[in-house]
Amino acid sequence: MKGKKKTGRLWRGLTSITASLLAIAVGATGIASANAAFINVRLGTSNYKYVDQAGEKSDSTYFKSEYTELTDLIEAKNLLAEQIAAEGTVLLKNQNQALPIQTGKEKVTLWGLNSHNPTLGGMIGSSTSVAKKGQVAYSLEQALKEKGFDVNQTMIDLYSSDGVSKYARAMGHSLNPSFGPIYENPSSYAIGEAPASVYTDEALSSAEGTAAIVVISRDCSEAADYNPAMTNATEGDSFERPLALSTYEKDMIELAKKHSTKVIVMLNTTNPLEIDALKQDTEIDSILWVGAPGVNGFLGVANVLNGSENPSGHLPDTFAVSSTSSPAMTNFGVYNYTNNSSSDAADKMAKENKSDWFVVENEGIYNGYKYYETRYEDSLNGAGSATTTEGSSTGQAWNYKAEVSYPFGYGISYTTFKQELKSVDVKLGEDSTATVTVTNTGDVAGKSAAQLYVQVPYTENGLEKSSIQLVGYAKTDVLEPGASQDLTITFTADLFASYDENAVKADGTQGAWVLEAGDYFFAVGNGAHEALNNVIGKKTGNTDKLVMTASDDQIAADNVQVWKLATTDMETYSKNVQNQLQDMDINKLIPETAQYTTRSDWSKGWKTVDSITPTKEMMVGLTNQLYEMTENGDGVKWGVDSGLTILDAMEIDADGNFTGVKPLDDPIWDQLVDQISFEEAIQFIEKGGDDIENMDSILLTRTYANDGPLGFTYDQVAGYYIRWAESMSNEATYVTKDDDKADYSMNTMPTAPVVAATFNAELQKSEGELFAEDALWANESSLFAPGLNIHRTPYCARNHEYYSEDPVLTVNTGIAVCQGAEPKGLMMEPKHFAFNHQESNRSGMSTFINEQGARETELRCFQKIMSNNECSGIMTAFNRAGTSYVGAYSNLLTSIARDEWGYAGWFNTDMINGADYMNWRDITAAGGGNCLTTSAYDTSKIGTMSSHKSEIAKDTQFQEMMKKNIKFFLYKLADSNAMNGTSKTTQIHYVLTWWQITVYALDAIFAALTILLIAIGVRSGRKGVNIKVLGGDGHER
Amino acid sequence: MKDKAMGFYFTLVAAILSLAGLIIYPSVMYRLPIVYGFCAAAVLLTIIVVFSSFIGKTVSLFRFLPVINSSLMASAAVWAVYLMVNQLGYVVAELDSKSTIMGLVYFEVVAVLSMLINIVGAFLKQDK
Repeated sequence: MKGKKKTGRLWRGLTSITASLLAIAVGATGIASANAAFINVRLGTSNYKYVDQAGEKSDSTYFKSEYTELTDLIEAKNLLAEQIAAEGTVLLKNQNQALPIQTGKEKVTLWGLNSHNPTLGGMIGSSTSVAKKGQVAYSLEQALKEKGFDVNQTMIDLYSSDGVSKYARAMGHSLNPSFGPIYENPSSYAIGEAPASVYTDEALSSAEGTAAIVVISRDCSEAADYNPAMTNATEGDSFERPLALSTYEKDMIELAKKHSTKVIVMLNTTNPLEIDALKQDTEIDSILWVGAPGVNGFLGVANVLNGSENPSGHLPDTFAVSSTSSPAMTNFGVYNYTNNSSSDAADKMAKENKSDWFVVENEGIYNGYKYYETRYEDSLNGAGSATTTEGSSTGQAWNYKAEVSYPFGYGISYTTFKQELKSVDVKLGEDSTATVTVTNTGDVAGKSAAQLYVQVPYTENGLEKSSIQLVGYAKTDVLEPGASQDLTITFTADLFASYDENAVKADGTQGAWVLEAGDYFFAVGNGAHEALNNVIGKKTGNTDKLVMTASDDQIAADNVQVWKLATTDMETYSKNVQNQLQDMDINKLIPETAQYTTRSDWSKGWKTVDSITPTKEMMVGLTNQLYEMTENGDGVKWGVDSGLTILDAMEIDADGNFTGVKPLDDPIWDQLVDQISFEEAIQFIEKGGDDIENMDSILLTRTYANDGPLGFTYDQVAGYYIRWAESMSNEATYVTKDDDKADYSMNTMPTAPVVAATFNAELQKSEGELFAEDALWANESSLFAPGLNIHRTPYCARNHEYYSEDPVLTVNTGIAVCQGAEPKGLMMEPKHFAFNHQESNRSGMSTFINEQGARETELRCFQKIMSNNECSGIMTAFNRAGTSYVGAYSNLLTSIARDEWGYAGWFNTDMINGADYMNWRDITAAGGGNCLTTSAYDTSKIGTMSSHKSEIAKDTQFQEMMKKNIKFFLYKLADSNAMNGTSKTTQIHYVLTWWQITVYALDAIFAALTILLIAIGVRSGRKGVNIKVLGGDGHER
Repeated sequence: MKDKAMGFYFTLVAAILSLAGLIIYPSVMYRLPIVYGFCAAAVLLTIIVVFSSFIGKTVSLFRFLPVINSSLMASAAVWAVYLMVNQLGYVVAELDSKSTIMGLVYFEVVAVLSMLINIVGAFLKQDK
């Protein structure tokens, strides 16, 4: 009997093991199923199999690659990246013709530990990476050697040694990105430079007689920011600000000056640094900015250094003497509402609403150079108290020379050019043109970018106007010495119209784009400052007081064209326009909270708004009460089978070639939307932000989307082969797992500011074309790019994903990239719409700005690309506009984007990082699109969309918005490479992958074992003792 | 209770850990309601067994208490991860602080321990 008892316990013990394993296996299966798409990407598997009913595959490659081999595409991308980096390199100073370096005669020494660990790209969305085998991420050292430089190996060895490398930033990064909330500004940053004491006599003597290339570097990252109050985390080093030179850097530069024949400083950063001391230092021969050039970019930089490429880039941002001197820096960083969730306030906010933070963008329209240059002109004219000490970085009377080292748009060449503005033909409501004749007046061949600026008429104390603004640009071909080329710059007058919140139009509505009567001065120049000097020279006839930024500045007062507007125009660019962003102006919500920058009095606008107590009205948005589900209307129809597929919306010519899609007002789009089921629609919206969900009812396949501005990122897409299912192996661009390039990373291009700095639309378009080629070879359909947010301050560590401080350069660069990509079937998804200007507490942060500033600065970065429908989609930002989450802000998404601009693409949220404020309900109701969901989505208090089906089914208005939003997706999906591989005879079968079969098999095995053991245990118990009902004492008997 | 053997006390300790899990789980960043259910069920079943033995009534199913409870706590442990997958990814990628997953870590330790003690208890005599 005793043996039987033991046997029973053994069976019970074994049962507990198998039952527990079963529970774990079932749970793991649930987790794996929920993350199947992610696992499939990692394992190169797919749940979809394409089967052609016709028996043999019909031609369904609507978007074809120009490459027959993946190798050729990768080579083309490498070469383009090299060329962009070369043309994006900006030469700022070059005395004594220190550059180019004569590689046959001169040996170079790379100075600075960051020359050994340079920054190539950012982290997360704009990270760079290469495959473990075969693909090369060129360091500066490798690039120089490959381009024939004789590089001082002793110094390289010094930087590689253990005693020195301990100071280095890992992989060129030391910023700490964080998705979590912070209540204080980030506190420290490691420059990654080594102290002067590490330089051995051997190393110093090895540098003697060589040319020094000194690398000053700062890194960049999504989800991180710099902060002026940061301390240097590198032991022993210090700096006044993280964007100023550190003690170790200064010491290293002194050593380089002492031990070298010439000193060339290379700025490896996408955040403008404080380099005025270097500019003024006569022992510094050259300065060049290279940004963060991507994995092939240093090859292009090397081409500039050796002279095989003549530098032709221009600064996308102002290099101010002090990085904190702009009015935007008055309010940058972490500011908390008084009743934030960590406060003791009785009515404190709820953490899940992510509403604790705000920022007041008090600078209005005076962002970047528009502040420095406008105040400069006013300081010359004695207007607006421009020379007051308020805002002066020296504490003395404000003067331009002490504030700006290198202005926006500046950049020099190894040769000289003469640019003559021949004509300007302004046509309101149509394309305008300017003609510039460029002549190479030097003795070296090179390209030249003509930048066209305008000064619009300004009335003192009137509508805020910048003294100078970029309206367009064009770049020459390579011009041989003495050669000339006529450039035509095309632009539209809306780019320099001013937004007047107080204007009342003929239809009685308030708010308009206004072109005031008066003289419009068009000028070209090497940057905004030279152009403004030309204008001032033209206006005043006097150039005596003008401030030059460099000895090569040329003032050509006769190189200005004047266009006269007789009467003020507030109608041409104001169709459907009226004030929409008044609730973004904090002064309209709580009077006199902010002091905006104004050129009528430059002493104003320097007040930090560090504390706000939200009003009851503001709490509506801050607590996500934007839309309430109600029972209304007569309902809408879903699942109405018209026998259509999405392929029926495509236009195919007689030769079988895809020629486009039916117009958006064709009834087929509504029929398709009606045909999808309610459940499909919900799934599409709440899960379709990343991979775009399939809708079987209309034969829409599941397609893929990913970051980012440098190309499809490695952290999300492991290589070219990864999105392919074997059943698609007959596609021309199918990549097998064993292809020697299958693992190659695609996120290899230079960062966005470098692309912008080329001022070369053709190169930018080529980048878009090759992104689209990558998409075809990687089976991706949408790229979360380009980044179009404005560079508001130098301190945003994500500036590397965005182009510039200027909206025209930003939007034109974005358009060029999209114009390359979209016709080849890649749906571009510019981001982050809108007002995402800092990464600290980006999630849920209230952004306040006046409407003029919002429209002329940030929204201008998006307007033309959306109004011309150059992109298929738009990714909304994490932050709030005023107190409303931007992805659910109907004034922005519907009133401005749809009604004013005529945008016909889709919207998509950024990653749901706080699902109570980024919720499906408010997003859909406001005209948003899909949700890029994460775990946060499933745990929101509002709940998932699928769990609210019954409520949604009663809300007709809401369902109509669902349909409307989905229609824009279908319209763009049908016109994209997402349709490749699908024909009208295609059937898409859902199949289990090997790993799914494995986990299900484990479930079955553990279940069978558990049942078996229970059965044996029960049987053994029955045989042994009466265990069915135990005695009253509960003993086992 | 005097008649209870070592296995029962193991089960009791495991139930106390289940209760601890129930208390700790609210500190996990993203929570799945059913996890509360698993833990609560393990605690409740144990209470019923203890109560039944006090009043001198029990049924044979209760001999399977450690089997049931180990399964419940195994389920709790695994489903607690369900909504935390992304967050774990963020922490591994150093995009968020470790503090955001420490609640889960503590819960997992308690839940897994409870499961293991139940399994050990299942091999032992429940009554003398």
